[in-house]
Amino acid sequence: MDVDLIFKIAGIAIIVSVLHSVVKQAGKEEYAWLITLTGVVVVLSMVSKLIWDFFSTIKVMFQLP
Amino acid sequence: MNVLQVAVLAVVSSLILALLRSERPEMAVMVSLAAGAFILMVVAPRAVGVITAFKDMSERAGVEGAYLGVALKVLGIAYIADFAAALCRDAGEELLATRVELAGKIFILVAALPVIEGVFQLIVSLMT
Repeated sequence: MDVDLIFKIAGIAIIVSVLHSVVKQAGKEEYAWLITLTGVVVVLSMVSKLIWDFFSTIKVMFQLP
Repeated sequence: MNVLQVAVLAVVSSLILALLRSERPEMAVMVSLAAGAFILMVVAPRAVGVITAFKDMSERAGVEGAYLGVALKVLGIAYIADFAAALCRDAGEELLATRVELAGKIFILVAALPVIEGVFQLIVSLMT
């Protein structure tokens, strides 16, 4: 449980944005796409744990099977 | 964590979202996902107290425990479906959100079936 996660995601998004535009300026379109994909995967792995925790909390709270 | 901190968290996430939405829409979805889950997880421990109070009250009133269990289950399904639908809507998938809501309604109907059956049996026994 930490609020830092939101700031972490924002930071990663900004870094990915900068890298994306730099690589695009260099003319490597396919690498730019790869960078975006990597960023999304990294953030998704961070968020998915939080979402899983949230759903299990709800499950325990309302005694869902 | 009190309501003030939740409010500050929501406002800060909104600012970050406003920054990200135009530049990186996929990251904006992640931020709103994390913020939404986080806020609800902060509130969850408080709600547990309310639920135990409800259980206590129903026990004292002599209501059958199974019925309260069904009501809680329906409430949980509704919350999860609502959260997922809001996320889908946030990602711009209106169609998927409607489907999730429909699925939630059907699951609620299935969960509430024993109660409906009980009411039906009561009516039948009254008529005969």
